Amino acid sequence: MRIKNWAGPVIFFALLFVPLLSPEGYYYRTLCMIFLWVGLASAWNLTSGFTGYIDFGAVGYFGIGNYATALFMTRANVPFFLSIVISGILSGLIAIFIGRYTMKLRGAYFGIATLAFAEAAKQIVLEFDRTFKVRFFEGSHGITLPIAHNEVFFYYTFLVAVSTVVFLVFVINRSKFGYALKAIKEAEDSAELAGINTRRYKVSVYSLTAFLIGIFGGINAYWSTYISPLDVFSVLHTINMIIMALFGGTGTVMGPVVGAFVLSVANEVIGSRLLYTWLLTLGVILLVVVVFLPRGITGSLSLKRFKR
Amino acid sequence: MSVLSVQNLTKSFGALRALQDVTFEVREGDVLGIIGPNGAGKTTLFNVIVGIYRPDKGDIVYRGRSIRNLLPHRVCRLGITKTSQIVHPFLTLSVRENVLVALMFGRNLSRRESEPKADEIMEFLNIADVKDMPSTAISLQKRRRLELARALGTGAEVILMDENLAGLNPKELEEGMNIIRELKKRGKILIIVEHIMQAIIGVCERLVVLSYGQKIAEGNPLDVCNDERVVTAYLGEKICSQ
Repeated sequence: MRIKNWAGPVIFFALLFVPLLSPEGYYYRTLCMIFLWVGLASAWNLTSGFTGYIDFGAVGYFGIGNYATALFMTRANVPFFLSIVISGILSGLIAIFIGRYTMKLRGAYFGIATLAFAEAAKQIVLEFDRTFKVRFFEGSHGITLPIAHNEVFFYYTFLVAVSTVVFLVFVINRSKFGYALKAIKEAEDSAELAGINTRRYKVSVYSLTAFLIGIFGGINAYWSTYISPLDVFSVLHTINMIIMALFGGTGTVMGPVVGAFVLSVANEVIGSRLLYTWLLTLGVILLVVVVFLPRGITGSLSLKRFKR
Repeated sequence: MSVLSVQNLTKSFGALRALQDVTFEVREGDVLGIIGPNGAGKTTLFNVIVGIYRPDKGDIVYRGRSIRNLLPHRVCRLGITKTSQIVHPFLTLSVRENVLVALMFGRNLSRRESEPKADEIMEFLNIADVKDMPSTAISLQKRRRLELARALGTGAEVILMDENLAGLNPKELEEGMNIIRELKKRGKILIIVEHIMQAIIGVCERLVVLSYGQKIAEGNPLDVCNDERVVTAYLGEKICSQ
Protein backbone atom coordinates (compact mmCIF):
# COMPACT_ATOMS: atom_id res chain seq x y z
CA MET A 1 0.00 0.00 0.00
CA ARG A 2 2.96 2.38 -0.18
CA ILE A 3 2.36 5.32 -2.41
CA LYS A 4 3.87 4.19 -5.64
CA ASN A 5 6.89 5.91 -7.06
CA TRP A 6 5.11 6.87 -10.24
CA ALA A 7 2.51 8.93 -8.39
CA GLY A 8 4.86 11.91 -8.07
CA PRO A 9 5.72 12.37 -11.77
CA VAL A 10 2.11 11.79 -12.84
CA ILE A 11 0.84 14.47 -10.46
CA PHE A 12 3.62 16.81 -11.57
CA PHE A 13 2.76 16.48 -15.26
CA ALA A 14 -0.94 16.85 -14.55
CA LEU A 15 -0.26 20.05 -12.62
CA LEU A 16 1.81 21.42 -15.51
CA PHE A 17 -1.34 21.63 -17.61
CA VAL A 18 -3.64 23.23 -15.05
CA PRO A 19 -3.28 26.75 -16.53
CA LEU A 20 -4.74 25.40 -19.81
CA LEU A 21 -8.06 25.17 -17.98
CA SER A 22 -7.69 28.92 -17.32
CA PRO A 23 -9.08 28.69 -13.81
CA GLU A 24 -10.18 31.71 -11.82
CA GLY A 25 -7.69 33.66 -9.73
CA TYR A 26 -9.03 32.11 -6.55
CA TYR A 27 -7.96 28.63 -7.60
CA TYR A 28 -4.52 29.83 -8.60
CA ARG A 29 -4.08 31.40 -5.20
CA THR A 30 -5.30 28.28 -3.44
CA LEU A 31 -2.98 26.05 -5.45
CA CYS A 32 -0.02 28.36 -4.82
CA MET A 33 -0.79 28.30 -1.12
CA ILE A 34 -0.89 24.50 -1.17
CA PHE A 35 2.46 24.40 -3.01
CA LEU A 36 3.94 26.81 -0.48
CA TRP A 37 2.90 24.65 2.45
CA VAL A 38 3.89 21.39 0.81
CA GLY A 39 7.31 22.90 0.18
CA LEU A 40 7.73 24.27 3.69
CA ALA A 41 6.51 21.09 5.40
CA SER A 42 8.77 18.93 3.19
CA ALA A 43 11.78 21.13 3.86
CA TRP A 44 11.08 21.06 7.61
CA ASN A 45 10.70 17.29 7.43
CA LEU A 46 14.13 16.95 5.87
CA THR A 47 15.82 18.02 9.09
CA SER A 48 13.27 17.27 11.77
CA GLY A 49 11.55 14.25 10.26
CA PHE A 50 14.72 12.46 9.24
CA THR A 51 17.03 13.27 12.16
CA GLY A 52 14.39 13.63 14.88
CA TYR A 53 15.64 17.09 15.87
CA ILE A 54 12.34 18.96 16.13
CA ASP A 55 13.01 22.47 14.83
CA PHE A 56 10.71 25.08 16.38
CA GLY A 57 12.46 27.95 14.65
CA ALA A 58 12.06 27.05 11.00
CA VAL A 59 10.06 30.22 10.38
CA GLY A 60 13.25 32.17 11.10
CA TYR A 61 14.60 31.12 7.71
CA PHE A 62 11.25 31.80 6.07
CA GLY A 63 11.39 35.35 7.41
CA ILE A 64 15.03 35.77 6.41
CA GLY A 65 14.18 34.60 2.88
CA ASN A 66 11.23 37.01 2.71
CA TYR A 67 13.23 39.98 3.88
CA ALA A 68 16.35 39.19 1.88
CA THR A 69 14.36 38.96 -1.34
CA ALA A 70 12.34 42.06 -0.53
CA LEU A 71 15.49 44.06 0.23
CA PHE A 72 17.42 42.80 -2.78
CA MET A 73 14.54 43.58 -5.12
CA THR A 74 13.52 46.96 -3.74
CA ARG A 75 16.91 48.36 -2.69
CA ALA A 76 19.28 46.87 -5.23
CA ASN A 77 16.99 46.06 -8.14
CA VAL A 78 18.26 42.51 -8.23
CA PRO A 79 16.09 40.33 -10.52
CA PHE A 80 13.57 38.09 -8.78
CA PHE A 81 15.10 34.68 -9.51
CA LEU A 82 18.57 35.80 -8.56
CA SER A 83 17.15 37.33 -5.38
CA ILE A 84 15.49 34.15 -4.21
CA VAL A 85 18.62 32.10 -4.87
CA ILE A 86 20.77 34.56 -2.91
CA SER A 87 18.13 34.57 -0.17
CA GLY A 88 18.28 30.80 0.02
CA ILE A 89 22.07 30.82 0.19
CA LEU A 90 21.98 33.50 2.88
CA SER A 91 19.52 31.42 4.93
CA GLY A 92 21.72 28.37 4.48
CA LEU A 93 24.83 30.21 5.64
CA ILE A 94 23.09 31.62 8.70
CA ALA A 95 21.87 28.10 9.44
CA ILE A 96 25.42 26.75 9.36
CA PHE A 97 26.33 29.24 12.06
CA ILE A 98 23.17 28.63 14.14
CA GLY A 99 23.32 24.87 13.59
CA ARG A 100 26.89 24.59 14.83
CA TYR A 101 25.63 25.58 18.27
CA THR A 102 22.02 24.40 18.41
CA MET A 103 22.75 20.99 16.90
CA LYS A 104 24.82 20.12 19.96
CA LEU A 105 21.61 20.20 21.98
CA ARG A 106 19.15 17.37 22.11
CA GLY A 107 15.40 17.04 22.47
CA ALA A 108 13.50 19.91 24.03
CA TYR A 109 16.66 22.00 24.41
CA PHE A 110 17.15 22.03 20.66
CA GLY A 111 13.51 23.01 20.19
CA ILE A 112 13.77 25.90 22.63
CA ALA A 113 17.07 27.14 21.19
CA THR A 114 15.71 27.20 17.65
CA LEU A 115 12.50 28.88 18.82
CA ALA A 116 14.63 31.54 20.50
CA PHE A 117 16.60 32.02 17.29
CA ALA A 118 13.46 32.66 15.25
CA GLU A 119 12.05 35.05 17.84
CA ALA A 120 15.37 36.88 18.02
CA ALA A 121 15.44 37.23 14.23
CA LYS A 122 11.95 38.70 14.34
CA GLN A 123 12.93 41.19 17.04
CA ILE A 124 16.03 42.24 15.13
CA VAL A 125 14.00 43.01 12.02
CA LEU A 126 11.36 44.80 14.12
CA GLU A 127 13.68 46.95 16.19
CA PHE A 128 16.83 47.39 14.09
CA ASP A 129 15.81 50.66 12.45
CA ARG A 130 14.59 52.31 15.64
CA THR A 131 17.69 51.22 17.54
CA PHE A 132 20.25 52.38 15.00
CA LYS A 133 18.25 55.31 13.60
CA VAL A 134 18.38 54.04 10.04
CA ARG A 135 15.84 52.98 7.45
CA PHE A 136 16.64 49.45 6.45
CA PHE A 137 14.17 46.79 7.56
CA GLU A 138 11.38 49.36 7.97
CA GLY A 139 10.42 47.78 11.31
CA SER A 140 6.75 47.05 11.81
CA HIS A 141 5.81 49.07 8.72
CA GLY A 142 6.89 46.21 6.56
CA ILE A 143 8.07 46.37 2.96
CA THR A 144 6.00 46.65 -0.17
CA LEU A 145 7.33 44.86 -3.23
CA PRO A 146 6.67 45.69 -6.86
CA ILE A 147 3.58 44.12 -8.37
CA ALA A 148 4.67 42.81 -11.71
CA HIS A 149 3.64 39.32 -12.59
CA ASN A 150 0.45 37.44 -13.13
CA GLU A 151 -0.88 34.32 -11.45
CA VAL A 152 0.50 31.90 -14.02
CA PHE A 153 4.02 33.11 -13.28
CA PHE A 154 3.70 32.38 -9.57
CA TYR A 155 1.91 29.13 -10.23
CA TYR A 156 4.86 27.79 -12.23
CA THR A 157 7.45 29.26 -9.87
CA PHE A 158 5.85 27.55 -6.90
CA LEU A 159 5.30 24.35 -8.87
CA VAL A 160 8.95 24.10 -9.92
CA ALA A 161 10.16 24.94 -6.41
CA VAL A 162 7.92 22.45 -4.65
CA SER A 163 8.65 19.69 -7.15
CA THR A 164 12.36 20.24 -6.68
CA VAL A 165 12.05 19.98 -2.92
CA VAL A 166 9.94 16.84 -3.00
CA PHE A 167 12.25 15.23 -5.55
CA LEU A 168 15.25 16.17 -3.42
CA VAL A 169 13.69 14.54 -0.36
CA PHE A 170 12.92 11.47 -2.50
CA VAL A 171 16.56 11.22 -3.59
CA ILE A 172 17.94 11.85 -0.10
CA ASN A 173 15.61 9.26 1.40
CA ARG A 174 17.35 6.52 -0.63
CA SER A 175 20.85 7.93 -0.49
CA LYS A 176 23.78 7.37 1.81
CA PHE A 177 23.13 10.84 3.20
CA GLY A 178 19.59 9.73 4.07
CA TYR A 179 20.86 6.68 5.89
CA ALA A 180 23.14 8.87 7.99
CA LEU A 181 20.17 11.03 8.98
CA LYS A 182 18.01 8.04 9.87
CA ALA A 183 20.81 6.47 11.89
CA ILE A 184 21.20 9.73 13.81
CA LYS A 185 17.49 9.74 14.55
CA GLU A 186 17.42 6.18 15.81
CA ALA A 187 20.61 6.07 17.87
CA GLU A 188 23.05 8.93 17.65
CA ASP A 189 25.80 7.25 19.68
CA SER A 190 25.59 4.10 17.59
CA ALA A 191 25.78 6.28 14.49
CA GLU A 192 29.04 7.79 15.72
CA LEU A 193 30.37 4.33 16.53
CA ALA A 194 29.51 3.25 13.00
CA GLY A 195 31.76 5.98 11.64
CA ILE A 196 29.16 8.67 10.92
CA ASN A 197 30.31 12.24 11.48
CA THR A 198 26.98 13.09 13.12
CA ARG A 199 27.77 16.74 13.71
CA ARG A 200 28.60 17.37 10.06
CA TYR A 201 25.52 15.59 8.76
CA LYS A 202 23.23 17.37 11.22
CA VAL A 203 24.55 20.81 10.36
CA SER A 204 24.51 20.02 6.62
CA VAL A 205 20.89 18.95 6.58
CA TYR A 206 19.86 21.83 8.84
CA SER A 207 21.52 24.23 6.44
CA LEU A 208 19.91 22.55 3.43
CA THR A 209 16.49 22.88 5.05
CA ALA A 210 17.16 26.55 5.76
CA PHE A 211 18.23 27.06 2.13
CA LEU A 212 14.98 25.57 0.85
CA ILE A 213 12.78 27.41 3.33
CA GLY A 214 14.62 30.63 2.49
CA ILE A 215 13.80 30.20 -1.19
CA PHE A 216 10.13 29.66 -0.40
CA GLY A 217 10.29 32.75 1.78
CA GLY A 218 11.66 34.71 -1.16
CA ILE A 219 8.88 33.54 -3.48
CA ASN A 220 6.34 34.31 -0.79
CA ALA A 221 7.58 37.90 -0.49
CA TYR A 222 7.11 38.63 -4.19
CA TRP A 223 3.84 36.73 -4.26
CA SER A 224 2.36 38.54 -1.26
CA THR A 225 3.72 41.92 -2.45
CA TYR A 226 3.72 43.09 1.17
CA ILE A 227 5.62 41.62 4.12
CA SER A 228 5.89 42.57 7.78
CA PRO A 229 7.91 40.97 10.58
CA LEU A 230 4.90 39.89 12.62
CA ASP A 231 3.54 38.01 9.65
CA VAL A 232 6.56 36.36 8.01
CA PHE A 233 8.28 35.53 11.31
CA SER A 234 5.07 34.29 12.95
CA VAL A 235 5.61 31.21 15.07
CA LEU A 236 2.30 29.93 13.72
CA HIS A 237 4.07 29.19 10.43
CA THR A 238 6.49 26.87 12.21
CA ILE A 239 3.64 25.20 14.04
CA ASN A 240 1.83 24.73 10.73
CA MET A 241 4.89 23.00 9.23
CA ILE A 242 5.15 20.73 12.26
CA ILE A 243 1.45 19.85 12.31
CA MET A 244 1.35 19.17 8.58
CA ALA A 245 4.42 16.95 8.67
CA LEU A 246 3.16 15.06 11.73
CA PHE A 247 -0.26 14.69 10.19
CA GLY A 248 1.10 13.09 7.04
CA GLY A 249 3.99 11.24 8.66
CA THR A 250 7.47 12.51 9.45
CA GLY A 251 10.60 10.92 8.08
CA THR A 252 8.84 9.89 4.88
CA VAL A 253 8.86 11.46 1.42
CA MET A 254 5.13 11.70 0.85
CA GLY A 255 4.03 12.27 4.46
CA PRO A 256 4.48 16.05 4.59
CA VAL A 257 3.13 16.34 1.03
CA VAL A 258 -0.08 14.56 1.97
CA GLY A 259 -0.30 16.33 5.33
CA ALA A 260 0.23 19.79 3.90
CA PHE A 261 -2.17 19.12 1.04
CA VAL A 262 -4.98 17.77 3.23
CA LEU A 263 -4.68 20.46 5.87
CA SER A 264 -4.34 23.33 3.38
CA VAL A 265 -7.41 22.17 1.49
CA ALA A 266 -9.27 21.58 4.74
CA ASN A 267 -8.31 25.04 5.91
CA GLU A 268 -9.61 26.51 2.67
CA VAL A 269 -12.79 24.48 2.34
CA ILE A 270 -13.86 23.84 5.91
CA GLY A 271 -12.11 26.88 7.40
CA SER A 272 -14.14 29.32 5.35
CA ARG A 273 -17.41 27.67 6.35
CA LEU A 274 -16.68 27.02 10.01
CA LEU A 275 -15.14 30.38 10.68
CA TYR A 276 -15.40 30.13 14.46
CA THR A 277 -15.08 26.42 15.08
CA TRP A 278 -12.40 25.58 12.51
CA LEU A 279 -9.44 25.68 14.89
CA LEU A 280 -11.38 23.53 17.32
CA THR A 281 -12.20 21.06 14.54
CA LEU A 282 -8.55 21.02 13.51
CA GLY A 283 -7.57 20.24 17.10
CA VAL A 284 -9.95 17.29 17.18
CA ILE A 285 -8.66 15.97 13.84
CA LEU A 286 -5.10 16.20 15.11
CA LEU A 287 -5.95 14.39 18.34
CA VAL A 288 -7.52 11.58 16.37
CA VAL A 289 -4.48 11.31 14.12
CA VAL A 290 -1.98 11.37 16.98
CA VAL A 291 -3.90 8.77 18.97
CA PHE A 292 -4.83 6.36 16.18
CA LEU A 293 -2.12 6.98 13.59
CA PRO A 294 0.94 7.99 15.62
CA ARG A 295 3.17 7.75 12.55
CA GLY A 296 0.89 9.94 10.50
CA ILE A 297 -1.19 8.92 7.53
CA THR A 298 1.52 7.65 5.18
CA GLY A 299 3.72 6.43 8.06
CA SER A 300 0.99 4.12 9.28
CA LEU A 301 0.48 2.76 5.79
CA SER A 302 4.16 2.12 5.14
CA LEU A 303 4.48 0.07 8.34
CA LYS A 304 3.00 -2.74 6.30
CA ARG A 305 6.32 -2.90 4.53
CA PHE A 306 7.49 -5.26 7.24
CA LYS A 307 4.34 -7.34 7.54
CA ARG A 308 4.49 -10.16 5.06
CA MET B 1 54.10 -5.17 19.29
CA SER B 2 51.80 -2.74 21.05
CA VAL B 3 48.76 -1.75 19.03
CA LEU B 4 46.82 0.18 21.61
CA SER B 5 48.31 1.65 24.70
CA VAL B 6 46.19 3.06 27.50
CA GLN B 7 48.28 5.34 29.67
CA ASN B 8 47.34 6.61 33.14
CA LEU B 9 43.72 7.06 32.15
CA THR B 10 41.65 9.01 34.67
CA LYS B 11 38.00 9.97 34.34
CA SER B 12 35.70 11.42 36.99
CA PHE B 13 32.00 12.13 37.01
CA GLY B 14 31.65 14.80 39.67
CA ALA B 15 33.03 13.31 42.86
CA LEU B 16 33.07 9.79 41.46
CA ARG B 17 36.40 8.56 40.18
CA ALA B 18 35.24 6.16 37.51
CA LEU B 19 38.77 5.49 36.29
CA GLN B 20 41.98 6.17 38.12
CA ASP B 21 45.39 5.90 36.56
CA VAL B 22 44.55 2.87 34.44
CA THR B 23 47.42 1.67 32.26
CA PHE B 24 47.66 -1.35 29.99
CA GLU B 25 48.78 -2.43 26.56
CA VAL B 26 46.98 -4.30 23.81
CA ARG B 27 49.18 -6.24 21.44
CA GLU B 28 48.83 -7.67 17.95
CA GLY B 29 46.57 -10.73 17.99
CA ASP B 30 45.35 -10.10 21.53
CA VAL B 31 42.07 -11.23 23.00
CA LEU B 32 42.10 -9.21 26.19
CA GLY B 33 39.47 -9.69 28.86
CA ILE B 34 38.48 -6.95 31.27
CA ILE B 35 36.69 -8.10 34.38
CA GLY B 36 35.65 -6.56 37.63
CA PRO B 37 32.60 -5.97 39.83
CA ASN B 38 29.70 -3.78 38.72
CA GLY B 39 30.67 -0.12 38.76
CA ALA B 40 34.38 -0.87 38.45
CA GLY B 41 34.65 1.39 35.39
CA LYS B 42 34.71 -1.19 32.59
CA THR B 43 32.11 0.48 30.40
CA THR B 44 33.55 3.91 31.18
CA LEU B 45 36.94 2.63 30.05
CA PHE B 46 35.42 1.55 26.74
CA ASN B 47 33.61 4.84 26.30
CA VAL B 48 36.82 6.77 26.93
CA ILE B 49 38.79 4.66 24.45
CA VAL B 50 36.27 5.07 21.62
CA GLY B 51 35.87 8.77 22.28
CA ILE B 52 32.37 9.00 23.75
CA TYR B 53 33.95 10.51 26.89
CA ARG B 54 37.13 12.54 27.00
CA PRO B 55 39.58 11.49 29.71
CA ASP B 56 40.51 13.96 32.47
CA LYS B 57 44.07 12.74 32.44
CA GLY B 58 46.17 10.24 30.59
CA ASP B 59 46.43 9.29 26.97
CA ILE B 60 45.28 6.61 24.55
CA VAL B 61 47.79 5.83 21.83
CA TYR B 62 46.69 3.75 18.85
CA ARG B 63 49.43 2.67 16.46
CA GLY B 64 51.67 5.49 17.55
CA ARG B 65 48.99 8.17 17.44
CA SER B 66 47.13 9.79 20.32
CA ILE B 67 43.37 9.41 19.93
CA ARG B 68 42.33 10.97 23.23
CA ASN B 69 40.75 14.04 21.65
CA LEU B 70 39.02 12.37 18.72
CA LEU B 71 35.29 11.89 18.31
CA PRO B 72 33.95 8.32 18.00
CA HIS B 73 33.51 8.45 14.22
CA ARG B 74 37.17 9.42 13.81
CA VAL B 75 38.29 6.69 16.17
CA CYS B 76 36.10 4.26 14.27
CA ARG B 77 37.60 5.20 10.92
CA LEU B 78 41.08 4.81 12.35
CA GLY B 79 40.20 1.30 13.44
CA ILE B 80 38.57 1.06 16.87
CA THR B 81 34.88 0.64 17.61
CA LYS B 82 32.73 -1.03 20.25
CA THR B 83 29.54 -2.96 20.72
CA SER B 84 27.31 -1.55 23.41
CA GLN B 85 26.09 -3.41 26.45
CA ILE B 86 22.65 -1.87 26.05
CA VAL B 87 21.93 -2.59 22.41
CA HIS B 88 21.07 0.44 20.29
CA PRO B 89 20.18 -0.72 16.80
CA PHE B 90 18.74 1.75 14.28
CA LEU B 91 15.23 0.64 15.07
CA THR B 92 13.27 1.58 11.97
CA LEU B 93 15.92 0.15 9.68
CA SER B 94 16.05 -3.50 8.79
CA VAL B 95 18.84 -5.72 10.10
CA ARG B 96 20.55 -5.58 6.73
CA GLU B 97 20.29 -1.80 6.55
CA ASN B 98 21.84 -1.57 10.01
CA VAL B 99 24.89 -3.43 8.76
CA LEU B 100 24.90 -1.43 5.52
CA VAL B 101 25.11 1.83 7.47
CA ALA B 102 28.24 0.60 9.25
CA LEU B 103 29.82 -0.47 5.96
CA MET B 104 28.93 2.70 4.08
CA PHE B 105 30.23 5.06 6.73
CA GLY B 106 32.85 3.04 8.54
CA ARG B 107 34.61 2.07 5.32
CA ASN B 108 33.30 4.91 3.16
CA LEU B 109 31.73 2.61 0.57
CA SER B 110 28.78 3.14 -1.71
CA ARG B 111 25.61 1.24 -1.01
CA ARG B 112 26.22 -1.12 -3.91
CA GLU B 113 29.72 -1.95 -2.74
CA SER B 114 28.41 -2.55 0.78
CA GLU B 115 25.66 -5.01 -0.05
CA PRO B 116 27.70 -8.18 -0.72
CA LYS B 117 29.90 -7.46 2.30
CA ALA B 118 26.85 -7.01 4.53
CA ASP B 119 25.46 -10.36 3.41
CA GLU B 120 28.78 -12.01 4.11
CA ILE B 121 28.95 -10.58 7.64
CA MET B 122 25.38 -11.62 8.43
CA GLU B 123 26.10 -15.09 7.10
CA PHE B 124 29.19 -15.37 9.30
CA LEU B 125 27.31 -14.23 12.41
CA ASN B 126 24.37 -16.47 11.64
CA ILE B 127 21.78 -13.70 11.44
CA ALA B 128 21.15 -13.91 7.70
CA ASP B 129 17.72 -15.45 8.37
CA VAL B 130 16.44 -12.20 9.89
CA LYS B 131 18.13 -9.77 7.54
CA ASP B 132 14.92 -8.23 6.21
CA MET B 133 13.22 -7.96 9.58
CA PRO B 134 13.09 -4.59 11.35
CA SER B 135 15.67 -4.57 14.12
CA THR B 136 12.83 -4.12 16.62
CA ALA B 137 11.49 -7.54 15.81
CA ILE B 138 14.46 -9.80 16.53
CA SER B 139 15.51 -11.55 19.73
CA LEU B 140 17.98 -10.09 22.20
CA GLN B 141 20.61 -12.61 21.16
CA LYS B 142 20.25 -11.56 17.54
CA ARG B 143 20.36 -7.90 18.52
CA ARG B 144 23.66 -8.53 20.26
CA ARG B 145 24.88 -10.26 17.12
CA LEU B 146 23.68 -7.26 15.17
CA GLU B 147 25.80 -4.99 17.39
CA LEU B 148 28.76 -7.16 16.52
CA ALA B 149 27.77 -7.20 12.85
CA ARG B 150 27.80 -3.42 12.81
CA ALA B 151 31.18 -3.34 14.51
CA LEU B 152 32.55 -5.73 11.88
CA GLY B 153 30.89 -3.70 9.17
CA THR B 154 32.92 -0.62 10.06
CA GLY B 155 36.05 -2.59 9.25
CA ALA B 156 37.64 -1.62 12.57
CA GLU B 157 40.57 -3.81 13.52
CA VAL B 158 40.12 -3.38 17.28
CA ILE B 159 36.67 -4.28 18.58
CA LEU B 160 35.63 -3.61 22.15
CA MET B 161 32.83 -5.96 23.15
CA ASP B 162 30.81 -4.80 26.14
CA GLU B 163 28.99 -7.82 27.59
CA ASN B 164 28.10 -9.07 24.15
CA LEU B 165 27.60 -12.59 25.51
CA ALA B 166 25.38 -11.68 28.46
CA GLY B 167 22.03 -13.39 28.81
CA LEU B 168 22.66 -16.17 26.31
CA ASN B 169 21.88 -19.85 26.80
CA PRO B 170 24.76 -22.37 26.88
CA LYS B 171 24.48 -23.22 23.20
CA GLU B 172 24.38 -19.59 22.13
CA LEU B 173 27.29 -18.89 24.45
CA GLU B 174 29.36 -21.63 22.83
CA GLU B 175 28.51 -20.22 19.41
CA GLY B 176 29.50 -16.74 20.60
CA MET B 177 32.85 -18.01 21.87
CA ASN B 178 33.51 -19.72 18.54
CA ILE B 179 32.80 -16.47 16.73
CA ILE B 180 35.35 -14.69 18.92
CA ARG B 181 37.97 -17.36 18.18
CA GLU B 182 37.26 -17.07 14.48
CA LEU B 183 37.55 -13.27 14.61
CA LYS B 184 40.95 -13.63 16.24
CA LYS B 185 42.02 -15.92 13.40
CA ARG B 186 40.89 -13.27 10.95
CA GLY B 187 43.27 -10.80 12.55
CA LYS B 188 40.88 -8.83 14.74
CA ILE B 189 42.09 -7.57 18.08
CA LEU B 190 39.40 -7.96 20.72
CA ILE B 191 38.89 -6.43 24.12
CA ILE B 192 36.08 -8.12 25.97
CA VAL B 193 34.16 -7.02 29.02
CA GLU B 194 32.23 -9.96 30.40
CA HIS B 195 30.90 -11.36 33.67
CA ILE B 196 30.67 -14.94 32.47
CA MET B 197 33.99 -16.37 33.66
CA GLN B 198 33.54 -19.50 31.57
CA ALA B 199 33.55 -17.36 28.43
CA ILE B 200 36.39 -15.14 29.61
CA ILE B 201 38.63 -18.07 30.41
CA GLY B 202 37.57 -19.85 27.25
CA VAL B 203 38.66 -17.12 24.86
CA CYS B 204 40.97 -14.62 26.57
CA GLU B 205 44.72 -14.96 26.77
CA ARG B 206 45.17 -12.07 29.12
CA LEU B 207 43.00 -10.37 31.72
CA VAL B 208 42.92 -6.92 33.24
CA VAL B 209 40.98 -6.61 36.49
CA LEU B 210 39.37 -3.32 37.48
CA SER B 211 37.94 -2.48 40.88
CA TYR B 212 36.68 0.95 41.89
CA GLY B 213 38.27 2.45 38.81
CA GLN B 214 41.74 1.06 39.46
CA LYS B 215 43.60 -1.76 37.85
CA ILE B 216 44.23 -4.33 40.56
CA ALA B 217 45.66 -7.16 38.51
CA GLU B 218 46.81 -8.12 35.04
CA GLY B 219 48.10 -11.35 33.57
CA ASN B 220 47.06 -14.71 32.19
CA PRO B 221 43.61 -15.90 33.28
CA LEU B 222 44.77 -18.62 35.69
CA ASP B 223 47.14 -16.40 37.60
CA VAL B 224 44.63 -13.60 37.78
CA CYS B 225 41.86 -15.86 39.03
CA ASN B 226 44.06 -17.08 41.84
CA ASP B 227 45.18 -13.60 42.77
CA GLU B 228 44.15 -12.87 46.36
CA ARG B 229 43.01 -9.31 45.58
CA VAL B 230 40.90 -10.38 42.62
CA VAL B 231 39.19 -13.06 44.64
CA THR B 232 38.37 -10.60 47.40
CA ALA B 233 37.24 -7.83 45.10
CA TYR B 234 35.31 -9.77 42.51
CA LEU B 235 35.29 -13.54 42.28
CA GLY B 236 34.54 -14.38 45.89
CA GLU B 237 35.79 -17.95 45.59
CA LYS B 238 38.60 -19.70 43.81
CA ILE B 239 36.66 -20.75 40.80
CA CYS B 240 39.78 -21.40 38.82
CA SER B 241 41.53 -23.73 41.17
CA GLN B 242 40.96 -26.73 38.97
